[in-house]
Amino acid sequence: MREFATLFTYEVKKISQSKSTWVPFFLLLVLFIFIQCTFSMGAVYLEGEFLETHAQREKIERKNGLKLSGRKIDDRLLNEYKTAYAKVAGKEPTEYLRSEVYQKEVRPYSGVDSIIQGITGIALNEVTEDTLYRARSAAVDYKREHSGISQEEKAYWLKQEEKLKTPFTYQYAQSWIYLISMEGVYRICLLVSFFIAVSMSGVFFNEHSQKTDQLLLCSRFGRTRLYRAKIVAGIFVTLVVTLILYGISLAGAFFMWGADGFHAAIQLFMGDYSGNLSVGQIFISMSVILILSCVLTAVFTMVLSELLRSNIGAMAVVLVMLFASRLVQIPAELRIISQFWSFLPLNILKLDFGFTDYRLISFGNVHLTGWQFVPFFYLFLLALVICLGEKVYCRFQVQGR
Amino acid sequence: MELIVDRLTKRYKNKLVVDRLSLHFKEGVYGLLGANGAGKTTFMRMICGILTPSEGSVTFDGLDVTQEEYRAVLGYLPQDFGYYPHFTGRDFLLYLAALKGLKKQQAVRRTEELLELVSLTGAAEKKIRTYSGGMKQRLGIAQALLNDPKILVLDEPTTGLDPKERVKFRNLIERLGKDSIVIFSTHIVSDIEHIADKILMMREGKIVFSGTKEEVEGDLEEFYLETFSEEIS
Repeated sequence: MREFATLFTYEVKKISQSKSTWVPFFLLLVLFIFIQCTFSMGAVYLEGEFLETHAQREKIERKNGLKLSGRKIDDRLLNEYKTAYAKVAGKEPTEYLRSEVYQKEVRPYSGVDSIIQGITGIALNEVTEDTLYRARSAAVDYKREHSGISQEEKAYWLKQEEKLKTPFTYQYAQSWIYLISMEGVYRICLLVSFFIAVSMSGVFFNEHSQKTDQLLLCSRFGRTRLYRAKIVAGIFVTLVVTLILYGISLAGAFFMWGADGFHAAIQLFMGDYSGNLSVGQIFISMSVILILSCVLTAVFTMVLSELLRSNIGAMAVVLVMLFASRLVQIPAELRIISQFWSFLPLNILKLDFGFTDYRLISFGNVHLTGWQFVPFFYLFLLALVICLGEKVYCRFQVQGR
Repeated sequence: MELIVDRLTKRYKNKLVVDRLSLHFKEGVYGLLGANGAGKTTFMRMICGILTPSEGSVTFDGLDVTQEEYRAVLGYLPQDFGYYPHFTGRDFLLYLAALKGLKKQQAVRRTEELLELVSLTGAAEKKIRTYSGGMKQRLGIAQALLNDPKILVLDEPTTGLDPKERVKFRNLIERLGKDSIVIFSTHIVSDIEHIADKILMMREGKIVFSGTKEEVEGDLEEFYLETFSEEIS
């Protein structure tokens, strides 16, 4: 164990001292910090005239949102909302956005307004608790019936829908919404995948290119513990980079919007979804998937470079897969392929795509949604790739130099 | 202590690089001579287990070349190999010591001994990328000796060494040959002449001469030139 720890330390040192690690890392870090700062930069202009900075806007929305947090979205709140919004009804935003009435009496309900518009888009004078939740039910039914899923799957989602308690409780949860959107965990996954493609493709390949493999492979632990030490070191470096970006993302979001609303129902922001989940639960699930996907991508890249005997080849495959998962959509008619396509890291981490996909993976009476299945699937693939890699690595022959 | 090479063969498509070599090695220094392409490096790689033979076997006291226990008693200096440019000389040796299974204290002690032996103590904390060719070669020799190997395979070890270092290194090999099996290849006939207990000459994958210096009639260099006259001309 002690020898393994020593080998691991040296392997981490080798990876972290390589230019192909620290150059992309610092570039990503600068880019990521810049992106994080941009959401507080800039300002809102109305007909060319300054209205407020983004930072001011977010501060006001947070203050208003927190005042409403914990209130049920029922007739009482909806009546207050209607009364407030009636004051600017029929007017153009340019006419009322600067007014004191809007700022003091209408704007405090903007959080409720965005939920209503997101769920149904029904007219202001028709909004009641009854019309709101009926409209939502109709949207949920429509989505379920038109998702191309089986009767068994429809029954599953109907059951999930029945578990939801209405009226929903309003929660200000901007941080968590940001983190589960494409600007949060998804973006971290995308950037770390680029890092992995460049950095991890050299972990094994560099030993061959710089001809150190001969020394390693003829040494006592060169074909056994060294392989595992390299894999674990690659995973470790990947996790460190992932957690740094993750920490920055979390810190940025909490600084801007606070950490409130962890238990907010996802239906407040994604009205037609039937999963009984809070935004916090989704964030945790996405974080687990992020970590596993980064580990899997890292191991896959390392093993692929050993299999192809080329770091460029492995890098190309990983990058093409990244782009393909963003650009290619497999028709739902090809169910198995398209469902597994949705399990690719950048697809499953898309809230409105893979993560909330209504198609299930069933084992007898056990039904798993995509996000429930993927962690097990990734762990299985991880074990498979590690075993395959060990075989490839151990069979390496030093020849033709 | 016996290293047995039994009908060792390496074939690439239609080309026979090593042709059914059968040899028994005991403690001592074995000098391997041969022109470029004779199969020396391929033969040595197979002894070190980094190249799988097409046929035949290599065993040391019953241990197969593929076993971890075999690798534990092996030291190898390849002809052309690389370093980690960002590592210091000391780090490089400590890393390889861990790979060879040395305990930490033992690794530190052995590293210091070997740095001293190859006159690199003063440069031990310098990055390897700043080393000269000769310093790198000495570091390579040191790494091969880390685990006090019973089988020491040295592929052209004196390349890059200055005359003084070569003499020092020859003396070292001679000493090591008393307790270990040392197989070393070289183009420099005088190196072999001074220290090899047994001389092996290789041509087209076969051993064309195997014997002691005394068994060579006359001057070794002339004998070598005579043996390889076709290839040299």
